[in-house]
Amino acid sequence: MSELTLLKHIDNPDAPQIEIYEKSGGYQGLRRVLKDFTPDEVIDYVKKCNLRGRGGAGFPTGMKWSFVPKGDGKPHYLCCNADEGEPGTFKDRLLMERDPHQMIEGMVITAYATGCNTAYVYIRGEYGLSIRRVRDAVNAARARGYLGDNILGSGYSLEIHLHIGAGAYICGEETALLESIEGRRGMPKLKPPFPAVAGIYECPTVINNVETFACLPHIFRLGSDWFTSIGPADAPGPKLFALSGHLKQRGVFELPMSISLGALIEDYGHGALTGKLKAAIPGGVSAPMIPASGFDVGMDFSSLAAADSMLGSAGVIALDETSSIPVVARRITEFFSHESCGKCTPCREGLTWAAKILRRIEAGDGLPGDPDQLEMLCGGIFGNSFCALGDGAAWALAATLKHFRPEYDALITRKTATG
Amino acid sequence: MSPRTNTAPVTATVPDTGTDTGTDSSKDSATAAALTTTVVKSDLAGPVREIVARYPKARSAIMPALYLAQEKYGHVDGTVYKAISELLDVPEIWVFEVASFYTMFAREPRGTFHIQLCDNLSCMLLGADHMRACLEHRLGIQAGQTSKDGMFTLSLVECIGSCDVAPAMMINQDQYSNLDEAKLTDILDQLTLGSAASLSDQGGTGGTGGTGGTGNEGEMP
Repeated sequence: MSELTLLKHIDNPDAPQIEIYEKSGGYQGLRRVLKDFTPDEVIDYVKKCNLRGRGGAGFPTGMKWSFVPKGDGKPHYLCCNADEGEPGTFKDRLLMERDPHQMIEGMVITAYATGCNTAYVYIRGEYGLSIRRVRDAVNAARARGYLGDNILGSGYSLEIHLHIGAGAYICGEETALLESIEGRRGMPKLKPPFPAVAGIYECPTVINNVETFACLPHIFRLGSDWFTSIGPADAPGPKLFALSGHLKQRGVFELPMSISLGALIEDYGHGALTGKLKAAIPGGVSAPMIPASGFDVGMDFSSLAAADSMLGSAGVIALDETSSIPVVARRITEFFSHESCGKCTPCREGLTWAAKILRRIEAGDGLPGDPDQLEMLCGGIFGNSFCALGDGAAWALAATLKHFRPEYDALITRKTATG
Repeated sequence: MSPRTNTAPVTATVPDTGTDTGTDSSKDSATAAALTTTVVKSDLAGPVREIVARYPKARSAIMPALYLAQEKYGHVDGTVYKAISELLDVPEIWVFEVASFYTMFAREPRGTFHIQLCDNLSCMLLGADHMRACLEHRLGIQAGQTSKDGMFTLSLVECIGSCDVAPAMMINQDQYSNLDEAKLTDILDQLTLGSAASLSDQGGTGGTGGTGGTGNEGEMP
């Protein structure tokens, strides 16, 4: 396996301390940026590296930054999306708890490139230790001159504040996150305008994921050649994968995106806890599941898209042969139904009904037409809501029907035959 | 504010929201039978002013102000909404719509120990439903209820990011993971006696080369 970067110091209990971080090369990337790069040159360099967002969508980071208008006279804001709530995902938590300065340094580099003087870290309220570690790291960075006024004598100034979430998964969606920072309910807005143009209080706003920020110090310390030498050309750089479910070994692993789902499961997850695996969800529960016969798929954006799924948050959940797929689908659908903000009718009503039908099937009261009804509901939800929550829910549910329809039919037929 | 059903401090049910001033010094006002808007405003004015300064507009301070109030009084209600709306000079409905949207704001009193069991997929696959049955049996309450003595509130919650050490739960701000029946019994025994800090996590499962557990360090507030 390749050498570790993001997780290199993760097992050192002193890694959150700024002195330790500095000793391992920390804040050298920022020094280099402030000394040798104009903001535009930072954006071009990140474009050249082809860094793609680690939050779920995989959008090219440098391109996202380049949408921010220049010389518009408005304040610009930076947001770190640390509202990690996708079931099966716990990579950002590890970064924040165990080595938080990578993210802070990446935020300063990003803010410099995009002309932001104020930044917010939106951390979910359940992550108490992450909140404390990030706050301590921000304070330590300010004390060392990496934050505040006139950073390292460059004339550039930045302040970072924490904004604590309060239990709403939808706030991980970027427009909902911005609404939440403005003191509103986390309800997504139609795009365009995109946050880069009209974000917090209608001002240009850049939003990136914790892991995306954490990549940046290494890019500017080790160089673009280092970054692009890792993994496939269209998805370079180190990537964190979270493994959970029916696996012998669970945890977070740093690997190039050239690895296959099967290798990830066998070599790092050490295979099924007992018996054999039936399927795996590759990127958090909104990513459509992949049956064991398709485990040779590459864990990168394009390969998973070609397999009708997505890399998403790269949180892999493995399901063994004892798992009932209709029950798994019921639990996933209940989650999305609960977390729907209620703004768009297809998502709010469609998921409520889908969950009811799935509970009925699980209880043995399913009707012969239920699987078709579920498919129809998925079609009615997909593409008909402002944000991706409904899409993800419908896509995930449809995949269970596509790959495991006989399991639904068996539950329903058994009832019909006996009752 | 309606009378509280318990007088035990419930400060641990809110995350550390980052205000270092004035929130822990005068809990006595929280135990008063009836809080008034004036009292709440006077309690929160200082820290709220500090929070407002972080944002372009005062409305952004609604969430942090609600957390402050919850930390101080255990839950939030109409008296709190009115006080915050006056402090921030925003309509009261803006405060209520935030308090009623986000599940971590308690709009009625919770028990001293708020047990939040994750039953999302990764925890479900490794036995969360059985953990739920054990908790309900032991506490004599159903999920969503508070025990008669005001000690325990049991909630089912969505993913808490402890999937690698499932099944997992939070009690107030502490994480407990790799749960089984015996561990659950120990935790509840110790909570009943005083503290279960020694049983909360000091680290995840952790793997080899390039892995880490999620680092669920237990820190009793």
